[in-house]
Amino acid sequence: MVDLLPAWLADGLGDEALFWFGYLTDGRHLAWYSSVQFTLIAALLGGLCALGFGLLGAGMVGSRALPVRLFGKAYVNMVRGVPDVLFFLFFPLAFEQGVEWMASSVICSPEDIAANPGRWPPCPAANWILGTWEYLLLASVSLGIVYGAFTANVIHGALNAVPRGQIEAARAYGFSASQVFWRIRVRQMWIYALPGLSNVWLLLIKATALLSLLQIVDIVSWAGRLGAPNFTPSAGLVHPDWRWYYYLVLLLFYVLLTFLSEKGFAALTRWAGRGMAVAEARA
Amino acid sequence: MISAANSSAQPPLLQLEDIHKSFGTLEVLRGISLTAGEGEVVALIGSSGSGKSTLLRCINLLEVPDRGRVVIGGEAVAMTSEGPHRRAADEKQLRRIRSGIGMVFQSFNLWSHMSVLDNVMAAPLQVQGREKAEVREEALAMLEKVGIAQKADAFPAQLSGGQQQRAAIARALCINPRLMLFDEPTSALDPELEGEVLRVIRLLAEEGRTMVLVTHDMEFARSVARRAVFLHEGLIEEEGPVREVFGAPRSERLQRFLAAGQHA
Repeated sequence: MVDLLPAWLADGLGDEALFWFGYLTDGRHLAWYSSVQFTLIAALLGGLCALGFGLLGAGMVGSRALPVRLFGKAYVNMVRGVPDVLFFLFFPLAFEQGVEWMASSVICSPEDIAANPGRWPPCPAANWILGTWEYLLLASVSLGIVYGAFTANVIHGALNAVPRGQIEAARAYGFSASQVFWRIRVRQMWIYALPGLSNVWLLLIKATALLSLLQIVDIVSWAGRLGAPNFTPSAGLVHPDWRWYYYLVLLLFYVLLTFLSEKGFAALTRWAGRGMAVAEARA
Repeated sequence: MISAANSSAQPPLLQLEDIHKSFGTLEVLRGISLTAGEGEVVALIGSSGSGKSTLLRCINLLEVPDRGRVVIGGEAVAMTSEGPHRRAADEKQLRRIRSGIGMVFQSFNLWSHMSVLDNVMAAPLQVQGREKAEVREEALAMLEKVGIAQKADAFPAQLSGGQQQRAAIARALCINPRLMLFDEPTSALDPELEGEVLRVIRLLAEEGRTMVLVTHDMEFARSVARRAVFLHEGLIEEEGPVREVFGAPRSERLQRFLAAGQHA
């Protein structure tokens, strides 16, 4: 990267600054910076999944059909109690092996299976090799399932906070059940849900630091690698254990994300509160 | 569907037959039959708990009667078998019938996330599937009619109670209702705001609209309605032309009810 600097700037910076600039823009550091995308993608995709599962879960909890309601309640109450780390390890592996099991029942011939006793997958052809992107997708879905349970709980409460009279008015004017749900209840619940949703969102962002558990070389793994005592054959010890510097940078990164999230939620709250008496009473 | 023979006989616009409704063990309606003809204004009166609001809500099935028939324009509303779990049997029919009945609530129940104009346009657009430009024009005309055209772009929370209730009336008018239901339309209003709402309702009565009105305001019921129905403990105690019901009540309960109202 140093050679990309224009000459006047390189001259003006001095040797020491140039050294640090070179250090911070070497290939490994650039890889670290670009790994931020995994964190951001997991957060956004996970957040969307959580919202989807949350709406679905809240809809099920509020359903009139008993089996649907029970399933919704089981989801909301059980998944909220599961440690996210554990689910994060469990779900992608279980999903991967489930797919392999289904694939093997189609692909593998009986001879193949007999040739590989006690092996997983039952035959080599059924082996599903997951790369970073597949793991990222599975990680996002895991986040979505875990935090969707919290989201469902928040949304369920918010849906019930929508004034009954307005729901009744919509029914009296001939709105269908789904119109009442989407156009009145879901449209109005945000002002009640957003404070709770912003909590869930911050928890979800924090959980993105777990991506390295799924063999994704994310910002946390890179920080550990880059900060570790560093030797090169030509220069000897480049630096001692600097991990805490690197982790500090990550802490600041998450503080920044939190700050931006709060800004975003404030804007959403302004949007959701237009015309709503609740918002005016709060302001 | 109405057969040719029936339609020539012109069934009354609204027929309630033997309506029963209980909430748990509380029997609110105990067999009420009522009709309202085209262009008629019927006032339901009675003390709190007499069942008049519940009866009104049975007309568009916001409450499903446990027993009895609801017939609108000769068409019976399909319901499942009698009992506490009774519900509408034909969702499509129910929506069609509801989309022809304009209801005005005690607490206005405007949709708070929509502007006043959007409130008025919502049902015509989303339930009746009418064309937007036409609906918009009509909605503005209705707001003009109830005297709040200048508030079209405001949100309900920015309006006074009287203005909100007039917006709610415009919302009911914009669906071109063949029947209008008023559930104590002025009870949530300060006395000085009642007048503006009552004026609008009186105007509608003079236009010959068919209306069923639940009210505590006897003076108003008397001046606006053609017929009054006095309910007591879930039964019709007395009914007739307002002149007779208010001028020469026969039942002792009605006499006492009216006398008590005069001092209130």
